[in-house]
Amino acid sequence: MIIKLDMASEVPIYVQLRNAVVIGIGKGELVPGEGLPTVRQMAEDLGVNTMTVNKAYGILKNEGFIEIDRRHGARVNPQKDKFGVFREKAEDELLLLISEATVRGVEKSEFMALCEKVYAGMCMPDAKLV
Amino acid sequence: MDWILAFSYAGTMWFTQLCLLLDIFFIVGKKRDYLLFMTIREEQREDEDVKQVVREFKKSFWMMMGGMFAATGVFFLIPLLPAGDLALQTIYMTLWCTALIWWDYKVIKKYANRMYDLKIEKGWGTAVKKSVAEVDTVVSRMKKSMPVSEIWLAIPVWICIGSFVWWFYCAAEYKVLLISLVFNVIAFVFFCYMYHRMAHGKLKVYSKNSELNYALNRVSKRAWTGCVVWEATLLCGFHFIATVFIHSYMSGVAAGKEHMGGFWAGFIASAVLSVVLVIAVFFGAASKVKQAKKELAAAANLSYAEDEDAYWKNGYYYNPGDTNTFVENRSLGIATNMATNWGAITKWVLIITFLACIGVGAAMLPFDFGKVTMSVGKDSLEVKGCVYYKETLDYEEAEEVYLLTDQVARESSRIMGTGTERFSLGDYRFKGYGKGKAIMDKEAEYYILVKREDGSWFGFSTTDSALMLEAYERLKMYTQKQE
Repeated sequence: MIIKLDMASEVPIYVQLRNAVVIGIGKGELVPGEGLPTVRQMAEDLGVNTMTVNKAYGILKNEGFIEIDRRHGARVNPQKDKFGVFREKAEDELLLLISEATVRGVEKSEFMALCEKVYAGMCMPDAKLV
Repeated sequence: MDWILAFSYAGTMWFTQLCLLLDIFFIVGKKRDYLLFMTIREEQREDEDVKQVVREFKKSFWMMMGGMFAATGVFFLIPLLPAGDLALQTIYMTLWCTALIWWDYKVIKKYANRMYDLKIEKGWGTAVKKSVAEVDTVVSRMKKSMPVSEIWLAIPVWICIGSFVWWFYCAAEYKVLLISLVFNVIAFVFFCYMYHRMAHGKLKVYSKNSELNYALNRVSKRAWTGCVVWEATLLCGFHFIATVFIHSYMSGVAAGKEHMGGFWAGFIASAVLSVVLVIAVFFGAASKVKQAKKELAAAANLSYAEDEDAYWKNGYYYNPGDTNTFVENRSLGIATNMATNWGAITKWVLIITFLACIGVGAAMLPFDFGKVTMSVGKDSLEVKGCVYYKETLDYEEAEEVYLLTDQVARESSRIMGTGTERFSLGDYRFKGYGKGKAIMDKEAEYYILVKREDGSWFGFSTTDSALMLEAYERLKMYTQKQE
């Protein structure tokens, strides 16, 4: 998977990296069990500080997208939302997004079509979720 | 007039010019991937404006080369000066080399910039978002398998260790050779740093195909790290061989052996061979990378774009967003990313080298314009030569004294010190007598050779003939008293 980060963006680099990995997993570009580069390698190839990559990996681990093993490094290991934590978070974020869409004049059907389109791009196999 | 020195300096200048002359084939060569450091496709090269820029570049380039070649002619007038020529030749050569490099840089910068502007004007350029950093996670994970093993660097390590062992057991009396061996270690450390930066440097994303990205990055990393290992081995090895030749020459001269020119020729041959091999290895690595990249891209039926022209528009690589210190040069070999700390160091090393060469030239001025002076005292005499050399001789130290002609100066051979057309200064072997200190002005009428109590000799001469005769009389008086 090719990760692209915009160094001039206002979004922090570790957030961009975290989002890129999550999108990659969702789209199936990063398959469960696939290894990620080590913190040092990722930092060298992106030209960022190792602490930045470490922070992104830490967040991905806490959110249940990857697992970090001392011997094998970071691996993709997406977990299902067993306790509904994500659903709560998604509801909050959707509330804001739909509010903005309403204010900007985006119709419900149009919004739903947009969601359909984005969902269609996802090919994360359900069976592989832990 | 030291014409040998003049020709050796001129040879260095012509060699520098020849290297830059060859560069034109890599900058505007027809079969090259880049034209004036810019990615210009084959069909775009037929454009009349592109051809015009290339024509003007060639014209400016040849004008520069012609001008600098003419300037080497002035160089041969320096030995005709009535004073000395050593310092002036050194200073002139430094200024000439600096002018050549600066002019070359200016010409390349001007026309690379013009080509870049033309490319943008014609709409051939790809918009490069400079702030975007990319990484292929699959390739990044396999980075460790790309460079050649660092174990190969053990060869130059052993050469360095071996050279010190050799010095300790075979050449310990020549401490000056240690400078040469320490230089070897410094060169090795630099190559280790280069290897480290290349092996761990940022990977490139050429296409969306991870397999192709891996293959292209591997070819590049493997070839260039291998090249660095070869360079380190060759330079350390040949430097050591050259040091052994110098030692053989110095010890032979010190022992009074004749026909030592073979060792001197060996030193020159090993130095030239090392330069030739180093350049050949660079050529080899560059052509290997180019060929392999073409084959890989063709096999994958993909084309990869390296449109980083904006970073090359001054004729050198300047990309603050790239953490790589060393990158493939678009003309030949490896280029330094001038936006990195190493780039700043490179710039300062060049400036300091230039200033150091001027400084060395200035420090040599006393050998051209200095003289040998002598003060004859009541109990001792003191001889000073060209600021740097000074020797005091107590009359009581003298066991034997000879008043000689210039034959002693012509037949004495230098062990360590300075020998110019006019002066013999430092440690010398006086033919038919022995080893000792020399502070001699070859324009003198008389030469005095004194044997000291410890068996060593001291030879001196000044142009003040009356003073020389007075010194001889005093020394003679003391030696007769002793008898």
